[in-house]
Amino acid sequence: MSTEHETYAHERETTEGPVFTVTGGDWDEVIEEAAGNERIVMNLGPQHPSTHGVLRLVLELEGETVTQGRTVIGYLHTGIEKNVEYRNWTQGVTFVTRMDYLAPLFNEAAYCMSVEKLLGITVPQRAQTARVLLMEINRIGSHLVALATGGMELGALTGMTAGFREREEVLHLLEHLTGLRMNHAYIRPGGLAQDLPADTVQKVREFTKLMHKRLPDYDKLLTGQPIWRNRMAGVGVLPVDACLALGITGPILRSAGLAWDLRKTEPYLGYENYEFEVPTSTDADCFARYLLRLEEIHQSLRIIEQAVDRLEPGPVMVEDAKIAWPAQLTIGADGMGNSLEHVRKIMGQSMESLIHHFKLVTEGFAVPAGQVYVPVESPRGELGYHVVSDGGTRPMRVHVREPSFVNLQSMPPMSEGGMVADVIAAVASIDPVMGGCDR
Amino acid sequence: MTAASPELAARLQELLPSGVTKAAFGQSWVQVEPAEWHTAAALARDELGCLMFDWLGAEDAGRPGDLGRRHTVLLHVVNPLQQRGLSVRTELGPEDELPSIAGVWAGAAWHEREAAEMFGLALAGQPEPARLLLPDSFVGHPLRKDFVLAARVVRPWPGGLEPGESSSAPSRRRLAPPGVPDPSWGPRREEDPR
Repeated sequence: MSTEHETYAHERETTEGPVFTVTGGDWDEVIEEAAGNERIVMNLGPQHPSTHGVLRLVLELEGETVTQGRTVIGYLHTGIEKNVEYRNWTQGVTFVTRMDYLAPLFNEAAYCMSVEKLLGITVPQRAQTARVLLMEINRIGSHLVALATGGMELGALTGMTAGFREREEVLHLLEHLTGLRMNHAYIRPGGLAQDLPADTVQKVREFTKLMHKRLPDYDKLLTGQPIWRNRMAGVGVLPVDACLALGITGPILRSAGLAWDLRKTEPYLGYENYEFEVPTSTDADCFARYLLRLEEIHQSLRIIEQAVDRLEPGPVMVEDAKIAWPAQLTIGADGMGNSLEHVRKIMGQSMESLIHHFKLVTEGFAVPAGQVYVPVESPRGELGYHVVSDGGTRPMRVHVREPSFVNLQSMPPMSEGGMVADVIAAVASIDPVMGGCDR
Repeated sequence: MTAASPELAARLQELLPSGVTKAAFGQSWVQVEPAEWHTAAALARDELGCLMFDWLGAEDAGRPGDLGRRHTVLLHVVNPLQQRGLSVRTELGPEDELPSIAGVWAGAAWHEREAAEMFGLALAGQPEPARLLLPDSFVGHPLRKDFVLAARVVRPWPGGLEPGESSSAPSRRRLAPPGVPDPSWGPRREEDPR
């Protein structure tokens, strides 16, 4: 081995055989070195730009064909399910919003809906419409990141810059509406933390107008582009029976032909009253999933436009003083916080409000004993919360059915038998978010 | 889809008379013995058309005074044509093994491995029983109710818990962060004179 080789591909002998550390641009040299070995085990990640966060892939190769693929997960395990057990029901929102960081509002909404089901309360109409509005804005942001990072992983860097440019618009809008770009903690058991700002309708209309103008660019940039299509068409195929046996949902299941969307099959928050379509395909490949995500952005815009029309003035929190957070919050320069005026008022004028405020904030409200499972359709598929209460002010158990976790099991069937490069396309089309997968 | 629908629970009850159907909050489930766990799963898929695996989870069975010993395992599967979900539960004692149903729905594999490592359940017949999320060196089963958050004991909680609190005022009793056990558990770092 020459010194030139050592600069790039360091080789060392182990009991399993020679190990090469490949850093860049020298794959052919490794192949030359390793020639004669029929079987190569290749490790990608967990720190690797093409593995979608801290996902590690272990591939067994024969030549460039993948004979076996495995994902190694858990690098972003945060113990959120455990942490939530030590907080009151309202504080749980600030934890679950940090799981799938690209779909925080879906986590908040699903968690709150499960708590509300145990409490047996119905949130006011304005809060329901606002939740739909926020979730659909969030869905657009999440799908844009899926297109952007997917593009980056396949070498379509302009697709990445375009996707993140539009996603920035989504984050600006969410920041204006909820006070924060992510980790909003805006949806609370019983409704919303506070009302939407006065210029919501105008800001959302400006956003939909801009998105209608920008979205055709994606068709020009990516959809018709032959390289983009060749990298993805017929790649990462997963037929519908495999999807069902593995529990795969979301765009992957819909790309296999089953129009399974919980907004239609188990409507919540009044989704049955919105007009939208569930796009499907029968190609079951990466390209179909790309097209579906793009079409779902258009459908989300339709829902947003309808939701904004239905946004009637009214309360955004249940009337029940035993549940509704008594504080009034405002959005200040540093995000959402207590309204100083309100604090001054209850401190100076109303002893009872102060005691009530203190009890509800430190202890929280009690939730009837029992357990429920509430799923919603997140950008990645079915996101469900199985919440168990022992009748106290803290959850006994919060189990999350996380679509990234479930969907990642489809990596081996999608990529075994294909090329190494196709594995990257397949993982990009699964669109896993490791924060959600590992929790 | 109707999550944990009463219709499918009633049909499984007919096919498996030893099960017990229960309902709360508009959702139904069939409680079966661990020995019938695999039978119930196979019946759900082959007779009730529940081709779609949804999720499998575990929780403390929640008997007062008996925390961390008995665990409930929950399974939710879906009949995609009828758009109905079926919920099945079983309860495992400390010596019981959970029969793997990864052969019925391949998707159950990761869920079982997660439940096993988080709750310390024993799996029977799982094709790949290795750890999934936790490193091999991890000791304990973090989601069990009797698991002590040791890291929070040995590492002081960052930031102030109360306004005006500071470490330079030893006279004041420090508030323990959530999940930290009482002093009988052992010494902590801030009490260590080093």
